[in-house]
Amino acid sequence: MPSKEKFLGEFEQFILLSILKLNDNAYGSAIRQLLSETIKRDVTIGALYTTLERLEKKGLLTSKMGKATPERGGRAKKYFMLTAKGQDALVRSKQALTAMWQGISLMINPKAVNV
Amino acid sequence: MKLSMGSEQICPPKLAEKFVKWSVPNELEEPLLGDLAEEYLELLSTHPQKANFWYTRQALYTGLQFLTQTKSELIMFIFGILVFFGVVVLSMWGAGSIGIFSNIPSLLIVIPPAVLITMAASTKQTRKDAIQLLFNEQIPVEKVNMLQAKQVYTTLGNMSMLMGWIGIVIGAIGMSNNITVEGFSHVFGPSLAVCLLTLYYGLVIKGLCYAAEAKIQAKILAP
Repeated sequence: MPSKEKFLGEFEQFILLSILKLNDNAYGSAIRQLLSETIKRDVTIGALYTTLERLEKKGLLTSKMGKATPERGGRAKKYFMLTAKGQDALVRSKQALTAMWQGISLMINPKAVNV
Repeated sequence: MKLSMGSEQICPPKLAEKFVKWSVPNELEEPLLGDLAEEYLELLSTHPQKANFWYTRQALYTGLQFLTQTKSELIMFIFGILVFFGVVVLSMWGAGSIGIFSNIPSLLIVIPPAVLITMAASTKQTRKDAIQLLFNEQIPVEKVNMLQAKQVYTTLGNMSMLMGWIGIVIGAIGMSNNITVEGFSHVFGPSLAVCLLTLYYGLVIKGLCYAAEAKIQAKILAP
């Protein structure tokens, strides 16, 4: 019987994975820089926060405010963490992709895989 | 916002920062501006010539990203006003030419008295609230202050209408005094057209004020 749960979009997966990688240091700027370094995607801070907010509303993320620091003009960081629901959604999306890739072999161009 | 870079105090582009503050939801203002400031400082130390451009670009895209979420009422309000003006201008154009609707003395009869009486009947803070309530949906204003702000537009609209009627009466008295049997046909029409313009200006201002009143009323009634 087909599942009614929706799969995560590509950008949503990238963000959730970044949060997992950054562990206790997952806040806007760090996520943005990780995406830029790892997948060479220059995301605007607004696009990032729009998605983070949406994921939080879906219950896939939680957040807490940190302490204000002088290099941020006295403004606090907002740290993000994955919920159990978020981890399930990520695993389900990975399994779906792996299942779809099974039996497919492509000639991989090394120049295209530079991440 | 001032940032410390060694012993130096640095400010990111002010206009860009204001745009972000104005457009993002209140709860995101602090972390988002903090992230922008942090990366701005990093960029200043590595690529100082790019930092201001980077900040402005980020602020612009970020602001635009949240505009439909935080300023949807304002966007609809501006759209409504533009449609109002569009219909008025089209009607003027359809009536002959737009030039016949412009008359400086009629404008002077309506606008200065209406504005001065509105200013006399309200405080500076109330007028400031009245403008801010139209363009900033996130400012915390007490209901009693919203009612006072709404009153600013009520007074301005009603005074404009009153001055419009007074303009008609003055014009009618002037015409009646100067009309002659020989000149009736070519004097009465143009004179009446000019004296009706005061009411027309009053009605346009009343229309705009009514839209502003309705917008504030919706805020007052909001839970």
